[in-house]
Amino acid sequence: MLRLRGRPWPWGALGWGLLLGLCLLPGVLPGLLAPLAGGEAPVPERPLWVLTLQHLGLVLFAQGLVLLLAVPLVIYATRPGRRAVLGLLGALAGLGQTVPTLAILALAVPLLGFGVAPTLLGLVLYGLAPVVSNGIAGLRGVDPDVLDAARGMGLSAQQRLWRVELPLALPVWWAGVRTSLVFGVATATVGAALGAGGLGSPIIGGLSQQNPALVLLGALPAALLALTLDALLAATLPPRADGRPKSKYIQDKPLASRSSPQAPSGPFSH
Amino acid sequence: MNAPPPPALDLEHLSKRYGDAYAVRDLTLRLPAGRLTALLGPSGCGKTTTLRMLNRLIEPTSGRVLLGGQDTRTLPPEVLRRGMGYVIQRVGLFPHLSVGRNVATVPELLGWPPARIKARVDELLALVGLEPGLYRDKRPAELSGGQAQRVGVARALAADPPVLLMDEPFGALDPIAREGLQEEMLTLQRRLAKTVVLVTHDIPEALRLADHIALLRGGELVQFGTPDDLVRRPATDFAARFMGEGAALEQLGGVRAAELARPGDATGLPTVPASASARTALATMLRLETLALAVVDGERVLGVLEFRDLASGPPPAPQDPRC
Ligand SMILES: Nc1ncnc2c1ncn2[C@@H]1O[C@H](COP(=O)(O)OP(=O)(O)OP(=O)(O)O)[C@@H](O)[C@H]1O
Ligand SMILES: [Mg+2]
Repeated sequence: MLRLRGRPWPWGALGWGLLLGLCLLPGVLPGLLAPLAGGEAPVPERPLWVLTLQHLGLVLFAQGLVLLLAVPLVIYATRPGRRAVLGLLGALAGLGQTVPTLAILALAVPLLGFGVAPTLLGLVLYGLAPVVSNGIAGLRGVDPDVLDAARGMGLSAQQRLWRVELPLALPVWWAGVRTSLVFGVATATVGAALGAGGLGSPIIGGLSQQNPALVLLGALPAALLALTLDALLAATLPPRADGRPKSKYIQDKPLASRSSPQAPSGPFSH
Repeated sequence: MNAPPPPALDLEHLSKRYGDAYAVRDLTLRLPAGRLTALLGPSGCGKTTTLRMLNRLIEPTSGRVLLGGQDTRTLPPEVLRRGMGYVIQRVGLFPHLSVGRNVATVPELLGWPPARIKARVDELLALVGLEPGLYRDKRPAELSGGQAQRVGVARALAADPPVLLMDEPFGALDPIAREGLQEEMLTLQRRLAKTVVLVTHDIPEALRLADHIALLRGGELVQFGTPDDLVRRPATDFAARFMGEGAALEQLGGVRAAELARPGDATGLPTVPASASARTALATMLRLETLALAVVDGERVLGVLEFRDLASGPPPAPQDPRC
């Protein structure tokens, strides 16, 4: 199998990405969906690739904001002596995951009006939850003996964070980013109802016109976009640090290279 | 490498209190320079707490620690700790770094040039009995418990710290691996002569490795002395009971038959190799029902070992200037 710097090639990301690219070629997807609409190809208000880029841009921008907020917040809350902050943050993250997307979006409109702003707010609030909770889980999951050894060797708090805690927490944390991003693609479709554009607009349009072909025109690329991002992040996921041991049962040889001149020998050593 | 002579560690009225309970109470103790001192005692007697106050992982409630005469509180904790190797039972290797990078940690912190670090890593892996070419690039997850602990020791020694703190370093190993590493530790210490503090509740380990033993109970010092002192001249009933009947026998295991042999007529006596322990010699006497053995080095007869020499015990350890 082809390997990319020690890991398998991201075939999934390539495959889904390619499929997405095909769908975005002018006329391809509308042509395929035409039979659903009585032979009449559905027409999006703007070219599909523009909608997809809009959608992706919105999701990535929101994810950037999520990281900008979550990373310092999680690091701050997981420092020693901040149990209260940590508990609160964990509870909020849990709560965030249970509040329906639509509710957040609907509540944001009166505050921010229609357009991109309320969608962005919803995306950020909703996207924070998995990133925060996985960040906490990742950092709290670092073996306390490893941290004790690091402290005992004279690593400062900052050095422990950068050299030990973050690298060890990264796989779990990254998985949270992946979840957040994939859900973000779905959440952003709802944003179209608030006028944020993106792949949600053909879906909303299709729903109001009772045109399933138009709905699929937005839904299919959105699904493929989510799958592509998911596979891409899975492929870039840092490997678990503690890896799979090659052999758990290596015999600990009795000190072959020992050079003690006083080592017992002769008939009395056994 | 020409390290400066190792410093002594002085504990002065050191106490650590948690709530109303003392983990360590008014401990005054000198850990001699260049010697291995064991902190020995039953579980919960304050060994770990004492050790961790030495490198300020725990700040004492009162009292102070002097390192080579200097109050350790005058140094930033990180600087203090980089001058003291630290080995714990559960090793705590960094699982995301190779064995080599683990060992390189403190030299990297100290900003050594890469070439020097690389040479030092290989030197240390060889020192603890791990082929550098074979182990340098392995991950900690690929090591056995004994190998991981060797890497732990190598990592602690990396920047050639004058002091080495060890908390039950061999406690998690099976008896064979433990004895092997203990033996290796002895060899290392003879070569490196660092000021080593070894926490253990294993009496044989303390007897075998330590130049001095500090026996603790309930956070307080019961007795400080050589292994011989503790076995033969226990200061209290507790010391006598703790060291136990087996201790005298155990101690014979740390003495070579050759050290006890005296000139004499060895003709016709059963032989014991010079490198065998006095305990082995005793076992041989019991098995052969004899009161004397010829101590031999190959063909050469070094002397005669009599039963009463074993009973009167080993002479003071020759390398100990205090005796
Ligand atoms: N953080 C703490 N809070 C409260 N009590 C503590 C704390 N750390 C240690 N103690 C208490 O102090 C005493 C000494 O603990 P310490 O860990 O030094 O014992 P030890 O001699 O190393 O024991 P062991 O052989 O089991 O490791 C124990 O009674 C322990 O319960
Ligand atoms: Mg302990």
